[in-house]
Amino acid sequence: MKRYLCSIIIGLVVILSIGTYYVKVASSASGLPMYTFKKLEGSSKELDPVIIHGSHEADPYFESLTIESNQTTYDSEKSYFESLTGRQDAQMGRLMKEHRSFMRGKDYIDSFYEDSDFLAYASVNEDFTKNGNMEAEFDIALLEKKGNDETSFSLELPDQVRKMNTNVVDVQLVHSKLQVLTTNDVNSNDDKQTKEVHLYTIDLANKKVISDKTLFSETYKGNDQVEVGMPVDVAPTQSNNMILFSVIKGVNHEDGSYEERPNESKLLSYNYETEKMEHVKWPKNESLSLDKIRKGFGDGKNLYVVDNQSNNYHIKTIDLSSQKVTKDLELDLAVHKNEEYFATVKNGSVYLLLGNDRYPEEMDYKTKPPQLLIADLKTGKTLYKGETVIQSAEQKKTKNLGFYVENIEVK
Amino acid sequence: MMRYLKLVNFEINRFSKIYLSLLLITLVSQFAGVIIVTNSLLNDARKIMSEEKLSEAAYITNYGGIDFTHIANTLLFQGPIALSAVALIFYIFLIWYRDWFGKNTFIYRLLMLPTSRLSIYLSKATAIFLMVLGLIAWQIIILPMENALFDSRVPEAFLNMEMSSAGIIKFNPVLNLIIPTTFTQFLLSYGIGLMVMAILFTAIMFERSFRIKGIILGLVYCGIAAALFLTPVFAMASDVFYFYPGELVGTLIALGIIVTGISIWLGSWLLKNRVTV
Amino acid sequence: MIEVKKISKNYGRKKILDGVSFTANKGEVTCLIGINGVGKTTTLKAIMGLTPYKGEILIDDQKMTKDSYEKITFIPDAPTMLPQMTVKQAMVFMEDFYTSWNTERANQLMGFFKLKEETPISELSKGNTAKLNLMLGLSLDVDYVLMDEPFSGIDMFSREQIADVFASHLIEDRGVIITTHEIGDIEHLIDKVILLDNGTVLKEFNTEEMREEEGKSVVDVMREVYQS
Repeated sequence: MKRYLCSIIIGLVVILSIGTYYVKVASSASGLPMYTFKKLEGSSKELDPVIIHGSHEADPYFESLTIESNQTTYDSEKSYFESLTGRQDAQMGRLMKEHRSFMRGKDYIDSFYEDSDFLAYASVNEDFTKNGNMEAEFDIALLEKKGNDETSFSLELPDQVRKMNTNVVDVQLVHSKLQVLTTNDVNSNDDKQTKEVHLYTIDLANKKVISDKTLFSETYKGNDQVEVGMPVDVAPTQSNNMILFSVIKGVNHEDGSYEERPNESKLLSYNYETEKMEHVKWPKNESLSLDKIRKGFGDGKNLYVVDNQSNNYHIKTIDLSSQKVTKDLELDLAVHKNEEYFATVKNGSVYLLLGNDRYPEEMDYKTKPPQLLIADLKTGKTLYKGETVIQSAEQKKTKNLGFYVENIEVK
Repeated sequence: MMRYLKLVNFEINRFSKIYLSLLLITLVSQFAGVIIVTNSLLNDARKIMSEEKLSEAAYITNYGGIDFTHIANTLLFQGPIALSAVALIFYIFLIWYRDWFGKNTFIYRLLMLPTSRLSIYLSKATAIFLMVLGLIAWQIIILPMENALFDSRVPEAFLNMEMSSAGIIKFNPVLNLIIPTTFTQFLLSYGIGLMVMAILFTAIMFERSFRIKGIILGLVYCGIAAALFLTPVFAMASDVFYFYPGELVGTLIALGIIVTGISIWLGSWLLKNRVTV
Repeated sequence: MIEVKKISKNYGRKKILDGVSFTANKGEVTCLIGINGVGKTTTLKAIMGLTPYKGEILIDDQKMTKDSYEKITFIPDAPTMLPQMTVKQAMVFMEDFYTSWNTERANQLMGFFKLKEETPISELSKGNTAKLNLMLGLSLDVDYVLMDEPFSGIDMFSREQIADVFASHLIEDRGVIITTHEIGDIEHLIDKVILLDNGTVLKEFNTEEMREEEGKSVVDVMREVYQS
């Protein structure tokens, strides 16, 4: 027996030490506090589709967590295979679940169009050749839901020598033609730079790009800067007649700081049906800054904008065709200084999550639990209001609510 | 089976002196690291405090306190880990070649044992693997002690926070590499380690069977094994096929098991039929 | 019976063995004779499965398996135990792995060779190393013993001691294959001679018949063959 002592000791030490360590690691994850929303008003059922990503400050590091349908799950609790996928957009997650084979290798929710019959996809695949030229092609895929018929093909990107990069921002299926909206940077040899927005029309039956329309083009030079951004789309995959994009102009100062020129910046809309481009304006007397507008939520008809200029949060509806503010609803949620809010619009409701302080040194975000308000878009009526609490009594002893909100999503 | 276990034990006993030295070096070096580095950090802090006439609190706000991450990043702490890793990688080769090239040609005895050559092959693999895990276990055992020593030596005012072992491991890239965060990752990491060892063993068997030609064959085998294992990664990188993350890991696990299996089979086949003493 | 059937072996382009065939019976001492480098050792290694070869070797009508190592043993001319082991530890190792280990015979041989249990193997003289090898090999209850140059580089007294073992009951009933290039000490013990040259069997004969029918000793035949 003595001869085997060494091996037996090593074997036992290995099993006991490594075993205990991992058991301890696993059990420490389940010892983390559970955050839930306590109802202050309304119906808890409204919470069901809400997904909140955040983190719990567990000395010395943060533990990422997700509150989905009012249930806290820590990333560290997930199995290795579950955690592989990482944090995923709920819509992408749904599409991948429903059309696993079609969705293989496809990313970015803006690249998709979905209706009851079709799921369409368009992206631009850019490759740089050895001599630095870009070779770009469209990757197009179409899924006919009924027969589960998949078609996919590649098309050369028209006029690609001119372009430095191409970014798909919206895909629509209009009269069985695929409309692909892209933002582009244009190649140039001098210090001039050009931003463009292109609309490509793709004939799916004949697998051809039948038109390439430049919706917007702006050349700038020197320290000037032009960016094209998109207001958040309420339903990026769904059929929309109208798409909005904001043009942000500014200048980079010598000292490295950036300044926007709000008077030159603008909001544009394009109507797929009428093929018309319009400059979206809104009444100046409304306290809506361009910045707020850009963070607005568009559904093809209206733009919903959260406003925190008064004592309470407001949700304003801008009708895009009449370019008027048709609704200004006061919400049952007070505005605090320096407070960061997360908002989203979905299913006819606005979801407002008051999270953390923007200046945690000044006003500790730990002192105030995050609040969530769900209100009806049409009436502004509170459907649900609640704030986070730590669940178990034992956990309440922890001196702070180390809960940091990162974003909110609605299924 | 008994003979396999006896062989494992035999291989471990043969390496026990070097192994015990590694354990001891790790222990001494890391504890010395805790004491020396803590002292020098505290001395530096006091020096700055007296030079700039700062109070403890002012010093902490300006320069920050200390915690165990300061210790874990030093040479005295990580050096023995690297030394042990190098020693065991080296031993993958030594465990075979010492039987051929020692003053006494033990390989005669080994190959004439009334046991399958597969047992001989596996016993050497098991011995090394067990010793690797032993070192990991050792680190897991001494880390909390080092941590406790550190916490006791640093005045509370200077201590950023008392860290747990898991926290220290998570924050240190070297420790995190040898002790992965979750048990699944631990299995995957050490599974890959096992596969690499099997591939190397088989390359050694090629060399022992065909000598100079065998070195080339061994290298070719390593290449083929790596290519086979990494096929899905290459397929994804070259846009041939896209795997969902779970599928990718699943495929890699399956291929890893296949590559390990082929390596063990081929290695022990060579040991049985092609090796010359 | 050990049957070696047309075995061939190359090292690179060099032919070491080229169709060697012979048989060795149980209860007989078969001697592979030849000048250095004719493939004697390689033949023994081939029988033991320590080197690959072409051809076939059967031991009691069966191919070599792992269990054959309980029936046949090989005593090479180099030490096969780790230098850091003591003689005792080497014996324990053998006992641990072989069911055919015979402790009684081991002790007998230890006494016969005057080996001490506590001596580390690294400190043994060449003669004593050969004796240890012989002791470890012969203490197994095997049917066949293969010995490679048991007398090379060993002093006269040790040689006599080793030769005495051949005459003793320790060898009785076993089939022995021995290689040597110095036939002198053991000529009287050999039953059968296989003369190897350039990887082939030059001549195979029974020593007794040779002596009786042609009146030649083994050395006479060797001289005849290698000098012609």
